This record gives sequence, structure tokens and C-alpha cells, in this order.
Amino acid sequence: MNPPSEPLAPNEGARLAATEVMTQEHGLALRASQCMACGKCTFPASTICPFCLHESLRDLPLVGKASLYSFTRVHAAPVNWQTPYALGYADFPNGLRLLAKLADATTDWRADQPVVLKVVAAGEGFRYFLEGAAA
Amino acid sequence: MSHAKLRDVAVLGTGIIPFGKHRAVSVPHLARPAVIDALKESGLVRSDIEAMYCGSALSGMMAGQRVARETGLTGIPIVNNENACSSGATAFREAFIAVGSGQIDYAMVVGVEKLTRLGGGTLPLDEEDIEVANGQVMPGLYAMRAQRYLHDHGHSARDLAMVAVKSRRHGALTPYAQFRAPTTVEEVLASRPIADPLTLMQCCPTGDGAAAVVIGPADGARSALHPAVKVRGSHLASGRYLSGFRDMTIPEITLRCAGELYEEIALDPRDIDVLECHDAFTIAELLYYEALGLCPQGEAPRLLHGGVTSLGGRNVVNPSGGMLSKGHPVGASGTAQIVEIVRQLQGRCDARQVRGARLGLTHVTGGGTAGFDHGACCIHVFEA
Repeated sequence: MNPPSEPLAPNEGARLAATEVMTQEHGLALRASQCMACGKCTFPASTICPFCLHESLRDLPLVGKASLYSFTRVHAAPVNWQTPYALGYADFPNGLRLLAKLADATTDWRADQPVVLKVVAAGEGFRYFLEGAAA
Repeated sequence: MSHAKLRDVAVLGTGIIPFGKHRAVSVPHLARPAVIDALKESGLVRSDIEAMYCGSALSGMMAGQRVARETGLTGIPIVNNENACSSGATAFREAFIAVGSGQIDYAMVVGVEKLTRLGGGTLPLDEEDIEVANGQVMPGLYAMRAQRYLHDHGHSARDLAMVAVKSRRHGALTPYAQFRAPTTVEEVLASRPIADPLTLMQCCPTGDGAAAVVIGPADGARSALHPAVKVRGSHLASGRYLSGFRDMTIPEITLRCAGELYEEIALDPRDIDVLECHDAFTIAELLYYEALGLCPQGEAPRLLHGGVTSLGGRNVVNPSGGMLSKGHPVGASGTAQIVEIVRQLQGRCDARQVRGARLGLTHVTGGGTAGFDHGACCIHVFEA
């Protein structure tokens, strides 16, 4: 993951390296991890469980449908970032919560609405965002 | 922490500078008048001070030594404390433990920050953080709390705006506040959007500031200019990391920090006459009424509208105008809150005096980092 030292467009978020994403049957997913001892999930993926320090973790693809917990449209941000942009926290069925840019800053987002995580190739890396989804 | 193992500690002197945009003043020169005033009020001389504890988050290395150079306090142990917005309160707590345990008798605590040198805008956060890399900013974090709070409890943006109105009403009476003009709900809501639903006047302004206190054993105040104010309790908590669901309307670090402290010192929060809490954004003050135990969950607007937390009310919150009117020079804020509460308990606050105030509390949190409610929370209780 590279810090946002270059200008970020309203729909751009963290740029990920190839090791931070997974290829699934239906496209790309973020690479999260699940501890084989305590079962807790972590994103970004870790090699040591931050909850129990166990060192055996399995890769867990993070993709697909989630529920939008909360959201905001940001108008004031660090220099270089184009505003406004929308941000939201999404809760996934595996229990993980993810902060991501929302696909656009003009939609009327609602708490608890279904969203879907999209992971796409961007230049030499990858990026991700949340889109509205049908219930 | 068990307070039973510590001797009684008191604040013996206080100092604070007017908060605002002091672009031409260096960090040590911001702190100098506050340190000198705190020393004068304490009735002590420089050689009585055995250690200095400095709180600052963004002032670079050795802020404390740079302040000491300008205030004749060099040579003694100096500890620099960085704990985001809790830096100044953490510095106070470290001094409290050192004096309480008998390691030393008298300590200088100073909090200082110069935000104008960062060029304005939102606070710079850690760029290695996955959420920051995705556009997270402090107003965005609080805005999402606000959005969910309004959704869960059916409150409105007007309820949020009323916090800013109350803040300015109090700030108008505070000589060291940055914003001292009263305002209205309409004006607050019409100010420019920062992170929906938060508008500019619902966010603490950028500012520079410094505050200082001298502390010592409770029986060591013989030559102080004002009555000594006892430190009744001190507690510090760090955030608990979660990778999944978190109810963003329940600030768990504050709830836990306050709960542990109340139990330790057997305190009913509704007995606290005057509080300074971390009102960095309007939503924060409402959530903290609930987390600090002033009212049940979801009922903070009722408390606010009923005047309970305004001057004249039962539990006055942020009589100084808080961070919304003073500004929030990160490392200085925790110490500034302590100065306000101590002066309230000494009966020195003129038009904003909480009458008969006997018990006061200061509360700061701090830090925006993925997986935490906040990184730090520091609470102190004082008794006249």
C-alpha cells in the first residue's frame, strides 16, 4: 500500500500492490487474512494475528456485498486531494469492516444500504471502492 | 491505577495564553507566558521545580527543552509526551504520578502547539494508515459518527448545530477564546460544508496555544496566590483494536476510561458541577455527554436543549467555549482544559463562573488511526 503522495481523484483510494489482492473466479478481491487459532479476520492481511499472536493465518478474499454502516461527503481534505469525495464504512458478512471511497460523491447514500466492493487494476497497481447494490 | 498508593496532589498555579493564530510567535515563545504565570501563581521559585512535563504532538523534537530554555528551567529532568490530542493531559498525568508517588515535590506541566505552521486544513495523519490512504480525515471520522447518530436516534442537524451555538455563547465570555462572537443555528448550518453533516462552524478551528500548571503535594501550597485545587483522580486509556463492527455512536475508549475512573474514586458523574470535554466537533460533545454518564444513550440533545450543560445548568460542559470556540492546538488543549477547571473551582471565572463549583472534570481523547475508536483518552477529576 502506497501513501497518497500523488494527487488523488475523488474516486481514487489507496493504491495496492499485486501481493495485496487475490484473483477470484469472478474477478479481483482484497487479500484479508483469518487466524487459524482464534478465527479472527484482519485487513490488510497479516502474517501474525494481532489478537492472539498466532502465526498461522489463511488468506481470505474480501469482495462482494456488504452493508453501508455510515458515510460522509468530505469537502475539506489534505492538499492534493480533489474534493468533494464520499467515504463510507462497510460491514462484510465475515465480520470485517472496511473504510473505502464510495463510487461517487453525488449519490444520496443511506445508512444500512447494500453496497458491493469493487477491486480494479489501476496503472501498475490496484485500487478499490464501494458501489451501491440491489438489496 | 490505584490512587490509594499516592499522596494527595494539588494544582498550585495556572497559566494560559489567548488561543488564536500566532504565526509570528515561535513554539517556545507561545509557551513562555503560560509557564511564567503558572510559576508566579504557585508562589514557588524556579529552583523549587524539580521536573517539567511537556505535552505536544506536532512541535518537533524536545519541545519541553525549547520551552525550558526560554523560562529558566533548564537542567532538570524534562519529559516530552506525545499522545495526539491527549498529549497535554498525559503530561499532567505523568507529573501527577511523579508527585503523588513522592519522587518529586513540584513539577511544571506545559502543553503547547502551533498549528498555523502546518499551513491550515485538516490535521496531517499517518500516511502509512490504510484508512488515511483512502481519504480518511478527522472531520470525516466524526461526520460518520454524526450521520449514524442522527440515523439511529432520529435527531437532526439542528441538534448538532445547537452545540456550536452553546459553545459560542460560552466562548463570548472567555478572554482567551479564539471565537467570541455569538451565533445562531441558522448561521452554523449555513457555514460551508466540511464533511456532511458537519459544517465549518461545527469543527474546531485551527489555532495556536499554550497552557501550563504547577503541581505539588496538597500540603505544599502555602505561598500560592489562589486556593490549591486537589487532583481527585487521574486515568489514561488506550484504544482497543477491532477489525470488524464497532458502534460508532458509542465512544468505547471514553466510556471505559470514565467508567474505570468513576469506580476507582467512587464518583457519580451527575455530581460533577463543571466539565471540559473533547468537543473537537459538535457531534463529539453530544456523544461524550452519554459516554461520560451525564445521560442515557441517545438523549444528549435533550440534555443540551434543557440547558443542563449550559451556564446555569446542573452539569456545565465547556464553560470556556471548549475547542469549538478556543480552537484546538492539539498538545495544548488537555492542559488548557485543566487550567479552566482549576480556575472554575477557585471561583475566578467572572461572567462564565459556574456558581458554587466544587467538583470538575477534564476529558480529552485523541488520534485517528484504523481499527480504533481513538488512540488515547485521558480524564482528570478535580475538587475544590
